[in-house]
Amino acid sequence: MSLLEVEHLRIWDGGSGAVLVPDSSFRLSQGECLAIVGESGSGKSLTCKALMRLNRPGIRQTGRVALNGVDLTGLSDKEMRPYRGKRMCMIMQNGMRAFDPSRPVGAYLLEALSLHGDWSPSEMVAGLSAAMMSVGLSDPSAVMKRYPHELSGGMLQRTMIALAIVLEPDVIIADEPTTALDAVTQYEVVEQFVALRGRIGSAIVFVSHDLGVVRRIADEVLVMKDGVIVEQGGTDAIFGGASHPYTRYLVSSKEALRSRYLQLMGGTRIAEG
Amino acid sequence: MGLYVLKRVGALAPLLVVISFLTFILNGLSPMDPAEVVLHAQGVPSITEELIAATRAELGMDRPLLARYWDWLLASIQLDFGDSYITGKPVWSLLGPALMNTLKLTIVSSLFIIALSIVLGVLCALREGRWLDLSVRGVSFLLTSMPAYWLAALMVWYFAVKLDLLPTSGMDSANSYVLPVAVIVIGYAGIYFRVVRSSMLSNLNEDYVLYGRACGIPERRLTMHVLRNSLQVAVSVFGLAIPIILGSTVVVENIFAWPGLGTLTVTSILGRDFPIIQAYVLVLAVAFVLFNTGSDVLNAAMNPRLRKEL
Repeated sequence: MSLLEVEHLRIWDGGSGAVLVPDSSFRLSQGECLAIVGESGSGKSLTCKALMRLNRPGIRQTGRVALNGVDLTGLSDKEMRPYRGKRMCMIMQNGMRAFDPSRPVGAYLLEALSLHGDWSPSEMVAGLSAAMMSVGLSDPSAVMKRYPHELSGGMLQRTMIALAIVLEPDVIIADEPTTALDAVTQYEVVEQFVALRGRIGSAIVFVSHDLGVVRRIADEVLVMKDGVIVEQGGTDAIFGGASHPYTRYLVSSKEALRSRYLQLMGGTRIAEG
Repeated sequence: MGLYVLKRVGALAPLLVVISFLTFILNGLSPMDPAEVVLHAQGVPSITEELIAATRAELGMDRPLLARYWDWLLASIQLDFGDSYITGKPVWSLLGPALMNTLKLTIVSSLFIIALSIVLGVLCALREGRWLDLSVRGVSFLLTSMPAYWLAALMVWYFAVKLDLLPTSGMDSANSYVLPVAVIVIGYAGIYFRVVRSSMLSNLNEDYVLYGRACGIPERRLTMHVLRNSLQVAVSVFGLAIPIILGSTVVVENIFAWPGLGTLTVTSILGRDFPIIQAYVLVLAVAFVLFNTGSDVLNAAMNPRLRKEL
């Protein structure tokens, strides 16, 4: 049995009736990393939020989303809450906006942790500190005292990863976690995700439109266009020989950019010579 | 935070000097000569040039402007605003009690306005687009659109005359507050609850609410966090609302014969009683500045991003 099973997920706008994702099915095994790629507006983010039932009230969904065989769509809001955070953890796109601006980051993290376990405050601080050190935040107590606006996007992104490490969820859903970051920070955060996979056994749903990152991190790739999954398969298969023209277009435009970039940087000569 | 408060209070001094100076020269712009006003008020039958010159000297009008301003400022700080041209009584003996009465009305009204705005704003934001939101917005729109004098007249007719529940005017008991406060609250709460509502709505759409929900934080606690962030906007608006209400009770005070600032100013303006008008403008301007600074300080206490500025 797969860890997460999504069957016939359909998402539409309750107000206008517009269908945003007509019929999606996919599954995720324990410890696996599934990347969802596609251009903006292709329904990646909606699909992610639908897994945790986090789309805003106007957005409706049907279909089955089962975690360890439990259909989450049938749960009440109260029954759903323990799944959020503890079993399924989300890492947001923009760290700068993901934390309450009026509270120190630490207060927020401790509030979230206190909901999901019988840890004493000192245990929580110790656990968080260790997790934050492991993602490269060398001074955890200083970070926890700071307000979100006093930290960088990369630091907040790592803080979210650290929270996920402490919570050890079954599934981590990362919604474009590197998009809002500069290139260097992006690289570092991707490295943290790669390390994260080795450290805890969580499965990861990794949404991105950066194919380079996807190739580095994912086992399986799911390609979406206009709400429809046009192709899915192993990472090597997708990048090696995609069958759907849209996937081939995505991969080839990525390659074209890459060769142009190498050319500009003088990398072709290095590659050739 | 302590440094921030110190800086804000320090910035008040020059501002207050400018305001007081503007208030002082404002009366000089009036076409009426104060000396003439005084002579008229004293009932002098024939006003001669010599008489005007003598009165001007008596009022100190022949001295240089800055010297007069300085003396006036020093006296004003001690609440000595001179004597009324019309009645000859010290200005503060008239203005002080009137100010207290208006303050009572303003404070009671403001508390109701703030409480009502927060409660209605939060409820409407949480039920956006549902019947509660729609009906509250509809009713408040209707009530806010009514001019205060008309609403006041309607309420007096119904509650005081027809039902005979409340006094029509005066300031005799706690019951006297009900109608004037109701008219003021209806006029302003309908405006200010929209500030809370829209601020709540924009905060509810923020990523931090989504992340909080994704972390399993219960809705009620999330609402409290959102409220705290939303009130930062509302606090500045409320901070200015109080002096606005303080200065705009004229209509309500006149209808309900409330012995407050509004009634006193209207009489003074009609009688060209410059010292009272001057003192009134000064008191109100200072109230604006103080409330504005107060709300900024309160805001900084709630919003860590503001503390670093300035």
